[in-house]
Order: sequence, then C-alpha cells, then structure tokens
Amino acid sequence: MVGKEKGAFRLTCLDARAEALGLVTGKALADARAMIPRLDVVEEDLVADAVLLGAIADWCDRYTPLVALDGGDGLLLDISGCAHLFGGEAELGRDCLTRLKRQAVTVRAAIAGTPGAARAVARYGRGGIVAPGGEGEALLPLPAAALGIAAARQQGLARMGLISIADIETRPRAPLAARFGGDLLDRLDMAIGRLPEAVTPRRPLPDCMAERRFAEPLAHEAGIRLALSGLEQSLSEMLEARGEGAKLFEASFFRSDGAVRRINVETGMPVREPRVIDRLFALKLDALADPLDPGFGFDLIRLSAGATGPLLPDQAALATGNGDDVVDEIVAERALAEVANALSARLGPQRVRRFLAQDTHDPLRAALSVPALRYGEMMGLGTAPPWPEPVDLPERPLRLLTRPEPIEVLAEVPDGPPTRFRWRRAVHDVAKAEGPERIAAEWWISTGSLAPTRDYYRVEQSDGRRFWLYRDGLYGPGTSHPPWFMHGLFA
Amino acid sequence: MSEQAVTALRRSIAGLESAASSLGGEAAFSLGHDAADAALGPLRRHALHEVIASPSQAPAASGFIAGLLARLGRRPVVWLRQDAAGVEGGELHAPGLAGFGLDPARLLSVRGRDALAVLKAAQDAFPRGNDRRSGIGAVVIELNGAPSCLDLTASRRLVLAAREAGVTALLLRLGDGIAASAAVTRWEVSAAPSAGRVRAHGPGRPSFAVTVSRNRHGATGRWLMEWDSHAYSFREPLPVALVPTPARRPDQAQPGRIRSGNLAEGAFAGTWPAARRVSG
Repeated sequence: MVGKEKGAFRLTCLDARAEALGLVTGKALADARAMIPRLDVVEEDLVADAVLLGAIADWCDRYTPLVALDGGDGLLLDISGCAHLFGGEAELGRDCLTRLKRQAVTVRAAIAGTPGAARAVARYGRGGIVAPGGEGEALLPLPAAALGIAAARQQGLARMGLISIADIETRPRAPLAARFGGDLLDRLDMAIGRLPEAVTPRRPLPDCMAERRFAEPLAHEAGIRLALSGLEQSLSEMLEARGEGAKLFEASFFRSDGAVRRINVETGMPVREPRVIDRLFALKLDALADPLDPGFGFDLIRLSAGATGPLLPDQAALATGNGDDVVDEIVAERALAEVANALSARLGPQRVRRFLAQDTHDPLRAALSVPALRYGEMMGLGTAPPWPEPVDLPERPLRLLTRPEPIEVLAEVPDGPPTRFRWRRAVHDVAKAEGPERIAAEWWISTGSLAPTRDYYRVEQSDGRRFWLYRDGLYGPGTSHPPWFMHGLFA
Repeated sequence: MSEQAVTALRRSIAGLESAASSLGGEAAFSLGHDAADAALGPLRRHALHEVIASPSQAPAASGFIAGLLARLGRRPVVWLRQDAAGVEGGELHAPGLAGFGLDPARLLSVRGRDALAVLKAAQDAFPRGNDRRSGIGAVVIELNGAPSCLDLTASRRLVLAAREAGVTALLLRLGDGIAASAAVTRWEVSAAPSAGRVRAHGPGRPSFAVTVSRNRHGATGRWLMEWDSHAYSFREPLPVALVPTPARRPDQAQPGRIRSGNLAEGAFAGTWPAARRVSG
C-alpha cells in the first residue's frame, strides 16, 4: 500500500509477504519497484480506513462501552470490570481475536494494566497478556518508539544511543527531561503505571444499560421485539433503583457478521415505565426509512439510557379533586408530553413543535416555535412572557406567511391604506381597511443597518376575506415607491 | 378585578353554557349562536366533525376551527398539518390564536410529510387512557385536496379513536370535490363581510358564512356567524351601532408617533416633542 508524502509515493503499509522480501514502510515507491519489479501496489484510502476502524470500534462495544480510537489503526478497550463477563481476560482476548479473524481482520492485541503498556506491547511486542505489575518488565526490551513519540525525537534518542526503553529507564531523569522535554518521561511513567493516563471514549458513556446475548443469533422480528421488551423491563428496574428516569434511550443491535445498528428515541421529560419506552421504540422501528435488517441474526442486543434525571412525581392519581387548576395544568402537560414523545418518535423531533411567546413587537419573532421535546427546558429558562389575552378584534392574523410575498398596490393617497391590490395573480378590492400600525425595527438588538419601518394594515376584501399587509418603509426623501407585502391571513 | 380573572370567569361561563344540553353535560357542546344551536341540536364532543373550505378560504376555516376549539374548553389541542400547507397558506401564528381565545401553550403543532403520514400520526395523537377532564381535548387534522388515503375506512378509524380517547376530532379539508366521510357533521365555511365597524372603515369581528350540509343528529342549514372572543362564543352579527369601541386597539399611526417595542403603549406614546419628529 502506498500513500503520498511530500510529493513522492512511499510505502505506508506492507503485507507479510512484502515484509519477507525485505521492504520496510517509509521506502519510496520507486526504490521498492527497483528492488521488486512485480510489486502489487494499492493507493491508500484514509477515509475508508477510518470508516472500517469505526465499524470495528462499534463492534467492540460488545465487550465494553469504553472504546477509544488509538491513532488511525488502533483501538483501545477499557475492559476493567468487564472481563469476568467473558470468563476472564484471556478468554475475552481470545474471543475478540477469533471473531475478528473470522471477519478477515488482521489484528494484534495485548492486555495490560495501563493503556500505554498495552499499546506498546501490541504494536512492538509479541502481544498477549501482561501480568499485573509486570508492565515495566514487559516494556524494557521494546524500542523507544513503542512509547508513541514523534519520529524526530526517536532519531534524537537514537543518536544518543538510546534504542530501547530500558536505555531510557536506566538513565538519570533530569538530563533526559532537559534534553527531550518532560513529555517523554511522562509517557514512560504512564506506560509503567506511575502516572494515570486518561482514555477518551469514542461515544458518551450511558448512565445505565442492560444487555442480552444470544447463543443462537436472533433473526425473527417478534423475537427481537420480545428481547427488547425484556431489556426495557430490566433497565426500568435499574432506573427505579436509582430513583430516576431517562430522556434518551439507545438500542444497539449487534449483528453476528459485525455490523452494528443503533436506534435512538428521545423524550421531553424523564420516563422509565417499560410500557412507554416500548411504545416509543415500536413507533420508531415502524417509521424507520431503512428497516432493521437482522441479516443472519443479532447475537447481542443492548439497551442504554442517557440524560437521566429525577422523575416527575406521578400526579395523575391526584387529579380527582374538582376544578384544581394546578392539577389540571400538570395533567394537561403530561398528556401533551406523552403525545409529543410518541409523535416525535414517529415523525422526528423537528416536526413536532410548540410555541413560546417572545417579548417583541416584530411579528416574525413574536412566537418562537421550538421542538416539543425541548419545550420543557426552554420554558424552564423563564424568559417567556404570557400570551396576549383574547381581544375583541383580532390584531394579529391566524396564519402568517413564512416569507412575506410582494404585492402590487393601488392607494388613494400615497400614505393611505390600499384600495386595490394584486396578490398571487388575483386582484383584490379592499372594502374596509384599518391602519397603519407602525412597527419599527428594534434598534436595540440590530447591529447592522436597520430594516425600514413597516406600516401594517388590516384590510377586508369585498367578499369578506381579511388580510394583513404592510408597506415596507415610509414615504420620504430617498424612497419614492416603498414596496408592499402580504404578510398574514385573518380569519 | 384583574384582566386575567375576568378572562377566566368568561371562559368558565362559556364552558357552562356550552356543556348545558340534553346529552348530559360533558358529552356535547354548542356554538353559542342561538339560531344555529336550536336547529343543529347538541354537537357530539367525542366524535369526528368535518370542516370543508376551498383553499382560498383556508384562513376563515382555521378561524372557525379555532373558535370551535375555544368553545370546547381549555384541554390541550394537537394540530396536524402537511409539510406543504405552510408554504401555501401560511404557518399557524400563535399570537393570532391567543387573540382568538386559544391558549398557544396548550397547542402541539405537528407536521407530516404527506397526507398519509398525517393520518398515521393522527392515530398516535389520541392517547390511550386519556384523562377526560384535562387530557388531550381535541385533534385537528388539516389535509389539502382529496388524498386517496382518506377513504371511508380511514375516517371511521378516526371516529373510533375519538370516541375511545374522549377527544373531539376535527377534520379540516381544504379543496374542492370532497368525498363523503364518516364524520357526524360537515361544515362548509367561508369568510363573510364583517358587520361591525369600529373605526370609519375598519374590518369588524371575524365573520363566517357557515353551511351545515350534513348532520346525523339534527337539521342542516346556513347561517352567518361572528366570533366574539370575549364571550368565547359564536353569535349572530350585531347591528353596527351596538358594537362598543374596544379599549385595546393598535394605535393609529400619526405623524411623529412611532409604535415600536417599549415605546408602544408606554408613557412616551404621543408625547414626542415636535422638534424630534421623524420625517415620513
């Protein structure tokens, strides 16, 4: 495999036979061709590599939720506390390697007490398991490059005769730190376990999860749904033990051939009732554009919960009193939330919206439309003023055009209301008109040039239809013909 | 008494009036329009009602629906529309609905890709185990044209869902050549010239020409109706002279007065010194 580096093709990756012929990575392609004229060469594709590594990382989720990327060709799995589920570290490692080999992936793996040691032994050693506390011993014979340091620094070390990690370990620390920076020694300390090393997982860790493995891959839809219901039940019990509910649920389906499919559902307020979760997943699975494809079956299904929080007390039971406004409010809010959750799962959160009043005169911004799932937290900010009281004559239209549409207008006097206008190719005669209601741009929030002041008119056509029109700008010096727009439709 | 308290009282009076009927309290509602109520009889609350209008009359039809919703009480409302509806007829404008007597805080606005998606979603909008006092009160299904998926079976499904959940289902159909459905009533709505004049030439209250062309439990007919958002009630248009001048109207813009933001109705309105007048 070759890649372009500084304008020349160089070997970046070799298979076993090429290595046996004496090729090394970093060699220029022209030189390699000179050595072996019949060399098979493939150009490297970094994007495809990353996708493949991502897919393998997804698959590795089956062993631990904490999977991190290690460079462009490695994965780091934190299996603390997970190994016993697979019959110990050795068993876990063997299981992982055989399954990956079955998927035609060539891997080397090592298990060690620190990320650095595992990385070094897997990449530069013989792999396998490093006994607890034996990290130092395992690392010493390895080359300095195993610490994961930059090539320039490796050369610097080599020039001083520091080839292996043992060479570095046995030297006095102060001069080394002065010459190569403290970073080098920190890396060594981390690998040996004298300093802690943080691992950044690829995906956020769930707060709570339940999973189920199947000896025989599960391919029937009914069986899958049943398994999911069982997981919902156990997850709900876990959440109950914590006294919490969750707003985010993710079901991961691990196919036996390595593909992983994740399905998310989201709710507006924390829930934990299995019936509710089940319904949301059922809706989501029904509405999937590309349905869940079990292929040869799923061998692991996992359900995890995120964004947990305290559950609202179930006050529906209290709703027996007469005319209690507070209870009414709570029950109404719960009913809306329940419907919003179901519809958001079916149609997507962006299609299910609620309105928040805004403190502004600008008609375009007077009502903020927010996804219903976010309504609770937006309300919680406490900035929304109350909605206007019902008025005898409507001041605002029932329907607002998303974009005001230009109209041609005839008016008796330039400043006056229109007497006739043309909108969407139809001519409308104005029978009654009221206005103008003058709405100026809000200078205290605008940064650039101000939009012109608008004069709004409510007009009624002779057949009874009522419209909301405005003149964009006032007559005055510089504006001889301010344009007119149709903005809203009254009942 | 505060404005809010008065509003709440008016609302509860309208609710009492609306519920008082031979069907026994909560199962029925009325319009408040004397002649129409007498002819139509009590309107079933937990049933499917159909409102039909040509696309150009969509605003009037939504106004009529908003009136019905306000008439039905304060329970939450789900309003389902197609994606394309907003482009053609405008988006629902919450301040306008609030002015009509509908509480936007209790409105869920839902959009589906097409008519089929809207109908499927409508089934989820009728919750099982719905609380009949404070749970979802009404579901509005707004459809453009005459989609083939809305056949007799689909509308019967809505009827059943409405009955089981104790919810009023309102089917708003915008288009011509609307086929039959399983709704208990069918209303054809268009805008009517308003009767009352507040100022010399201004439009009056929202007015509708309503034709009831189908009614399972009473007579049909045609009426002119006006929506009175203070009384939360439809009624016969009043003669001109009886309409009082309302207290809250947008200011008539006069030279030197700009209505904008915090100046709107504050202490400054009308007191701009002549020297600072804005030209125009």
